[in-house]
Amino acid sequence: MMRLFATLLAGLMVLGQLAAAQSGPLRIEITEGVIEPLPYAVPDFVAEDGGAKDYGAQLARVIAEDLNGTGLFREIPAKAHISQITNFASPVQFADWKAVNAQALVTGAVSVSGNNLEVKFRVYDVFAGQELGNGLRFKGTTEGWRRMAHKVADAVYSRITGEGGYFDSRVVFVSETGPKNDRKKRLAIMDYDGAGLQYLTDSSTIVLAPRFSPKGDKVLYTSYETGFPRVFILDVGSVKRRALEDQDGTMSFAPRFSPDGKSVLMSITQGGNTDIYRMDISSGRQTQLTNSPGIDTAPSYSPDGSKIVFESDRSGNQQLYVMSAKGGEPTRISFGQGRYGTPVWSPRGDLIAFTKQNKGRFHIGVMRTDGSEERLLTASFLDEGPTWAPNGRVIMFTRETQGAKGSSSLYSVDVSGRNLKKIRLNGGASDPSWSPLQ
Amino acid sequence: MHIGHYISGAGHVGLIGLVFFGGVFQSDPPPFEVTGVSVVTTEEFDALRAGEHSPLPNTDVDIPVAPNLSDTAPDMTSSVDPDLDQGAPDATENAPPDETPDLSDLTAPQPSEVTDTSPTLAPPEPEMAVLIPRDTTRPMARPETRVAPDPVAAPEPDTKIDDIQRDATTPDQSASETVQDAQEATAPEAATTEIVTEAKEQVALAPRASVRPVLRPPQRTRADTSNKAKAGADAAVAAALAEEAAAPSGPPLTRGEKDALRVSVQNCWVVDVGSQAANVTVTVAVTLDQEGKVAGPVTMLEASGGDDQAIQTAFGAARRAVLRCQRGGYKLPIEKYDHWREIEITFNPEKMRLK
Repeated sequence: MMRLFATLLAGLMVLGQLAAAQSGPLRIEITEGVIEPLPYAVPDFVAEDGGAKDYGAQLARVIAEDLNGTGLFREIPAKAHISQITNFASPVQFADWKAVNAQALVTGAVSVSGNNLEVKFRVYDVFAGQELGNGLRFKGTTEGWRRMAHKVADAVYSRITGEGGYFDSRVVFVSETGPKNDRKKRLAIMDYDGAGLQYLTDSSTIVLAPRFSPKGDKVLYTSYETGFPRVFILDVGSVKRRALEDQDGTMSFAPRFSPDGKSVLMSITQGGNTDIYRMDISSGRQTQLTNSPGIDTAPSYSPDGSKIVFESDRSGNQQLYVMSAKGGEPTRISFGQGRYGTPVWSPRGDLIAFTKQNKGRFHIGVMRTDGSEERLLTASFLDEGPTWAPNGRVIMFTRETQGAKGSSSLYSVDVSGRNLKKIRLNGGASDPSWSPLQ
Repeated sequence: MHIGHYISGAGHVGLIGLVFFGGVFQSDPPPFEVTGVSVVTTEEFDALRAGEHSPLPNTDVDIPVAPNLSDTAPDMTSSVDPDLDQGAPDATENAPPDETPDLSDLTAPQPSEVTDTSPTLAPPEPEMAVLIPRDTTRPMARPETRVAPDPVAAPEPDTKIDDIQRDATTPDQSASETVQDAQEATAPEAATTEIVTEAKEQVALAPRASVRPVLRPPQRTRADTSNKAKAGADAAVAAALAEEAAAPSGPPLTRGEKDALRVSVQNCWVVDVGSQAANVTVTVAVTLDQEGKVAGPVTMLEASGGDDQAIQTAFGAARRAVLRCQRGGYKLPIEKYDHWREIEITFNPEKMRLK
């Protein structure tokens, strides 16, 4: 009897499940999509007066170059457009943009009054038939039109991807000229895309490893002008500089700002031992954070300032370690084959970028902050010195070619490993450091 | 019991007797042909063979007669033929001198320029030893900008990849009078199945490690058959009957029809694997009309795995996927419309995240 009852119960339960499966809406789950650039259109911005015509086209081109350069967007050329944007206030013909498979549309207008430039724009989700966010307006000078284009591109990028952009940012780096055995180096600064190049120092002395402050107004770097490596701090606006650490018999290098910009991490070599120190910028007071017989160097703060990642050879091989920002016993996080160095914490806080040398090749890679999920993004004769874009999405680094005539260049790569590309620059370049968004 | 044995024994004996003596296994012989034969003696046989002997040789042959030769020689005289007497030629004293021909008007032929060029022959194939590399790497997939579940080979160089995707034209039987310009089919955009970073390019594709197999689920315990379970069964019966009454009529969509719908949408679902939105799983509700087109707004039912900004981005990508790929309407069986009028689609990028 009990058996019969149990069988009946099970049958009823199955019947119930079948009925439930067939009732209500149809449910499907999609687990595999496609990874491809999102097609979009950015027609020339409407010139609202005669003097703005050239700016309308130039703004659209810079915006398109910014978006296309991410590898996440693909511009639909103007010759394929069915609709023409002739009035910024006119309603958008979504059917025409759907027909050319534009998923996003950027429209804008520009006007010039004397030396002042005004740019306004809107972003549309074409297939939803609605605007993404509200229209936005920027005002500036005609000399700053390119930066205004970067700002528009940042806003477009942010509205479509949901993340911050990185187009209105700059990069400080070491400009290199001359042959390998007599290379001249000086600090230079440029827009993220290589435009607007300016030099901050002359080439009379060797300079290394510049690092932007969190606000982008100051630069730390290492100079050999005293014969020994010394850390200097430079004001970008006035180009004035001073040595941060000038204790006799010591060498200081590999500096990096804290997230609040009030202190600096650096390596100091004393008595043949290299450890990591924190220095308060205003008072000059130093605090030793590591104390091991090995070489501890290349420190980098986590975005919240609570932890520090650095490289050390205390285990006999160059590896990555994480410790509290107050010092203490570090935890090793890299265990793969080869040597790890120059770790940099992502602005998002989720990843650490590093340089890896293994089997005669150099790689730029990323790993979780606990050392898991290591992924190598590049491979070449010499890749080193990663720096993160302000949004934590792109990594810029130095790539040097092989041979006596080899030269250094700057490259960038998406954190997914896609979209590896060379930064357009005249001459050699190394040691990039990305500024925050301006 | 013994009676049964006796009956059985008698039955078996009778059966065996029937087999042996009843001709059960006998059958008629197979049919055969009968041919008549006559008996002959040795003399009669020799007489019959006599006509088959070879002919005897004939020695009665005529001998040829020798020719009659005479001893006198034949007459061998000759005579002059008068028709051949033409006399000697007359000699002339002032014979005109031989004149040199005037060659002034003639121009010497110019030697034509002949270039003696040897024909170009293809150099013979040298005999080469082929060195087989010791280490061969697997062919690597060509890097493509598009990563999709189904790889698509790159089209021929002269094939145009348009921004607008068009279907190939097919003859319309119902509108044969209408002459329509032929449309060029758009080649599918090349796609690969994974992101190939620079660091991966020289690495063999064989996996070095595999995912640990999932543990077998624990065995279920025997069902409780107490009164409490009986009450639960009653409730299950009531719920099942109620839901069955509310369920749409007719057969549900087959697995193939569901898969076709899923593939249609996933081909338009663009995932930015490096973004925070790639951590978000979002479920959207869609209402379709009878043509399979989206009727009304696409709404978000639930989302998990990210902040508000990431969720909105993930929802936007899901909505674009549903709206883009509907085109002329999703291809679903109209007779099952009640089953697919309301659809809930869950977009789960877990498998696509960077690892």
